[in-house]
Amino acid sequence: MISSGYYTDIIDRVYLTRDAAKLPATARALAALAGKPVEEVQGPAGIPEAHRNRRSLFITGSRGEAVGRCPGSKGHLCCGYVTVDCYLGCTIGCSYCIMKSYLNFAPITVYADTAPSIARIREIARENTGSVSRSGRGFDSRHPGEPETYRESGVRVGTGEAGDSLEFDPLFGLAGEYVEALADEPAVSLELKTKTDFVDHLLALPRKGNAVIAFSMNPQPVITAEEPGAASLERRLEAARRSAEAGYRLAFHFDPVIATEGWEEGYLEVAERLSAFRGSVAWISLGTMRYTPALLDRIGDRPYLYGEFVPCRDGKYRYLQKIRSGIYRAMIGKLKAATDAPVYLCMESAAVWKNAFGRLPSADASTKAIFRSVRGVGKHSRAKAGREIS
Amino acid sequence: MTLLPISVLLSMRSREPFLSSPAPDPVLLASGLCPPLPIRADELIWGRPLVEAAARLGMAELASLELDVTEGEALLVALRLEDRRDLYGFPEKEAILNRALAAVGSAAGSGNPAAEAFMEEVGSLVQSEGNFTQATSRYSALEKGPKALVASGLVDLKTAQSLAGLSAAALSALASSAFGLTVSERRTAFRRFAEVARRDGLDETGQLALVDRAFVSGNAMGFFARERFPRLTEIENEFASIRDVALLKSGVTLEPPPFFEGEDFTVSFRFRDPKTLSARIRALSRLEGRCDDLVGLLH
Repeated sequence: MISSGYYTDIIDRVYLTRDAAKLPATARALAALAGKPVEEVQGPAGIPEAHRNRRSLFITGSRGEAVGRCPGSKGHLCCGYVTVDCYLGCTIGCSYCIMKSYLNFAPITVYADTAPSIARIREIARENTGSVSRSGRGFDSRHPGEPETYRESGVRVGTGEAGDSLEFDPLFGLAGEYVEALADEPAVSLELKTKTDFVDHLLALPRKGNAVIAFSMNPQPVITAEEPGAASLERRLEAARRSAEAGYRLAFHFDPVIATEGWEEGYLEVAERLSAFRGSVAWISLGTMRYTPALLDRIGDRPYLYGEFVPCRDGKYRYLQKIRSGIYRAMIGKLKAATDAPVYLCMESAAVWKNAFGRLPSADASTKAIFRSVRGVGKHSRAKAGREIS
Repeated sequence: MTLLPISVLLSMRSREPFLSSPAPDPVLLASGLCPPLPIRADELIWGRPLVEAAARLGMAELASLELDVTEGEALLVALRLEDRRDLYGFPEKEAILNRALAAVGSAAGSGNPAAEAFMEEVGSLVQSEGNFTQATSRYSALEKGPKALVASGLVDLKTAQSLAGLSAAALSALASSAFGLTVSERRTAFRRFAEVARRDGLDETGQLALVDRAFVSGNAMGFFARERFPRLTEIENEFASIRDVALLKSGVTLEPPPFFEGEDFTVSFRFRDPKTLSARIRALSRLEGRCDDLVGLLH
């Protein structure tokens, strides 16, 4: 649950563009940040260099190509997740965050005009309606005996690719705008991914459609050491419980799994605790720690970097294939026992998929639905997004 | 312009930040073919090596020019006369930076436009690329051991930064043994040494022992690779053992995927007649018997 004064403590000043000034989300945020200096700028270039950091908020209308497809990674299987730029950057400060390579000298950017993105998602949904096995049913219309969890992955859309979906959302209320607007799109599963427990402002929304509230998962020692501004594991699990009770589907992302000494005990215990949400989990993803050479320079000296990482086909460094295959097998075994949700791997090679599952995602109904190709949407460039605002 | 006795010039204060000024050409110097020495009150702004060389040659005096310049302007004059852009080592850059920062005083880093322009001009006279102030400040912030390695040219600044907190004695031991390595090997050796020392929580004795073992092994690079990547080493050894038993001297080569990342092994061979082909096929048969073990290396 969010503490009073959270935003006034972490934000020093606000910059906004003229098109953003008149938006309801901006008005909500400025009311909550009353007393903070607010300055209108033409664009990100108008923000003084000294203020291009995470203590500044930059509110703008929308981005040219706010909706895109995850850029994927050469030689690795990508689920083709559709991403929406809503919040860019966050203040959680995870040591391993890939966005450090792109957004280091950038304010927290908020695309406060949801209308163009919602319209674009609707278009994409229309173009992909054929890929939904059964349409027209909301969350509460599950068929008896049907595995709830992967009944309709359809077009999976998320706002948490380049920032935390919910850290600033109690301030702006953008997630609610997306959830309500897309509630009548049965082909769309909107995923709000977070390391916070800031879900309460979403619980009372009357129409939730296929919205999924997703929590990034790590054992508490990893959270303490590597995710300094994040909610504790207990608070995340508690927020998940509240979300599920309110009627949301859930997702959990163990990404990155950091395989330091004794990793198994911590991660498998967390996996086991997901049994509390059996029947409410839409999907679970797994990804072991990985980094680009550019990110390595920014991570600094963290003990987990002494693991045995080797270069992979996409230029990223990952644990030895044999090591991560073992990690995935152990996690999948535990998760399958604890939940009925489909489990998939994020940015992994075909070889590792076969090692972990004995098959490729296309060979199983649950993962096939998740990895179904989405038509009509171009790849999103995180690097480009970073350049625009840095 | 004034002719000043060498003894007067030698007695002047000199704060030149230069440590490796080229030796003056004695013939040119003796012929008076050197620039007049810039002076300011009792300070020789630039040219101390010239004065010393003139003294050694027994010259009586040198031409000088008194300048009415500020501290910062004096540094710019010295840098222009020194004319060694891109040839300064880090210790010299550090001395130049310190002089420059002293010249701008409290205006340093305050966003003062004049101070920023001055620092930029100093930087442009020191190096043609990169940010002089940032890089030099990183060098200045290094601990003694890593700093000495950069100063001696043994490692680059980035590598030196990764050596923070390690034993200066162990780094020095590693440095003295690392002269035979290429630049890239040295960088790798120092990084792997640092990673192993930190991973295993080695104290100074442990770090010195690690260096010792590396060079006793006769192949420091191989040693550090094995220490840093024990699981990969284990897999490589197992692969080599399977390959050697099945294929040694068979004319068949076997390659794993790079870093054992992937699902395909590659075999290749040549043959020239049925006899050599049969020999290769027999070797492949032996390999077939170990196929599960081989594939297991990727699982």
